[in-house]
Amino acid sequence: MKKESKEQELEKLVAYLDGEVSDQEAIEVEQSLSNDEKTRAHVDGLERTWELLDKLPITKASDEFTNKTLSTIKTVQLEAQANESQDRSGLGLSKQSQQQIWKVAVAGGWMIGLACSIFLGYVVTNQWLPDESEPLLKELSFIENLDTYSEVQSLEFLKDLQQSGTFDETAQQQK
Amino acid sequence: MVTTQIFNSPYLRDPDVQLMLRAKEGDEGAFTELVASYQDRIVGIFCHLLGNQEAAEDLAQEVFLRIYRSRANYQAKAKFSTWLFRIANNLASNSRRNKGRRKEVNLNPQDSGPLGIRPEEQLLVEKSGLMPTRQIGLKETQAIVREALGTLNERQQMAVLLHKFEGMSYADIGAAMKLSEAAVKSLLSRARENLRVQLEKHICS
Repeated sequence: MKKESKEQELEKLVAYLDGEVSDQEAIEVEQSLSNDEKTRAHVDGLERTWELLDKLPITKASDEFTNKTLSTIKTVQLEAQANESQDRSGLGLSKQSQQQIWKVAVAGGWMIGLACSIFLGYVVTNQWLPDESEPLLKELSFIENLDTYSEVQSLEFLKDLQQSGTFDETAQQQK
Repeated sequence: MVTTQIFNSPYLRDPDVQLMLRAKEGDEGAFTELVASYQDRIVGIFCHLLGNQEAAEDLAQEVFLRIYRSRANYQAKAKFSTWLFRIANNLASNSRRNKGRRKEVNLNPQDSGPLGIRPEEQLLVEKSGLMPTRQIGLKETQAIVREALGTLNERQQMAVLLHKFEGMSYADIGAAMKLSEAAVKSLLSRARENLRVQLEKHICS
């Protein structure tokens, strides 16, 4: 209880010195100061020690402080503007979205690559590998007459027949 | 309703509030004016608290950067200085907390006081050959006062600096430090009593 009242008394004295008391409180403190030497000494000590703080050196900002601060702020501002324009152009996506887009792009790339490979394979196969039906087409007239040729049985005989001119005579007679 | 309250705000008479409102509208010159008029005060306070000019300037720069970043949402709800010192107080608290976590090694207080010797003082000491007794006396007094200031807790120091060097009222200190006026009254009375106990013997001698 005594400690509390001491603290309150101290608060009142300090507030009086700081000009933070009501008129009534100021009168009370002034009465106490005029009547009590101990209080006067206490207040005197508080005042004088407070004045000692004036001895502390006052440090000022360095000459380059303003420019340094303003250029830092400018840099921050430019960064913010850059981020803003990135957001507007849609490039400012979250990391997760960027990863998803990258995965889709890679998968798409693989699909396109595969399709191209299939197409190229088809073209190469068609261009350079021999077509099995090509010799058949080339020998079509022979194949069509294969039964007739088979009945003759001997190629030598046909050659002899051609040389004898029998076919020429028959052709002329038909004309 | 809120807009009307702000429009009728008594703080609009504060010229620094006007500068801040201009800065909000994109007037870079107004912001430069604010930096120029508060930089010494902020650096001075931080220097007393941290005892290092470089650290004090870094922190002061951070204060202005925060103000600049929040200019778009600024509303004249208090004196500009109150707002600025509230930011400064928060940053100082955070800085001390971080410093505590890092367990930085401080200079021996015996060597140059709890806040360390500053370049200007060094210069003063070097030049003291001209007036040795006077300069050495001043240096010693400064070291003693710093040591006494260093015995106060963080909040007491800030309240003392704002009151002593910024001439702020209890109400403004309360607004800057998020304390009631009664709490500031109690904080300052204890701080001043601690200073008296620490320094009175030096006054007598």
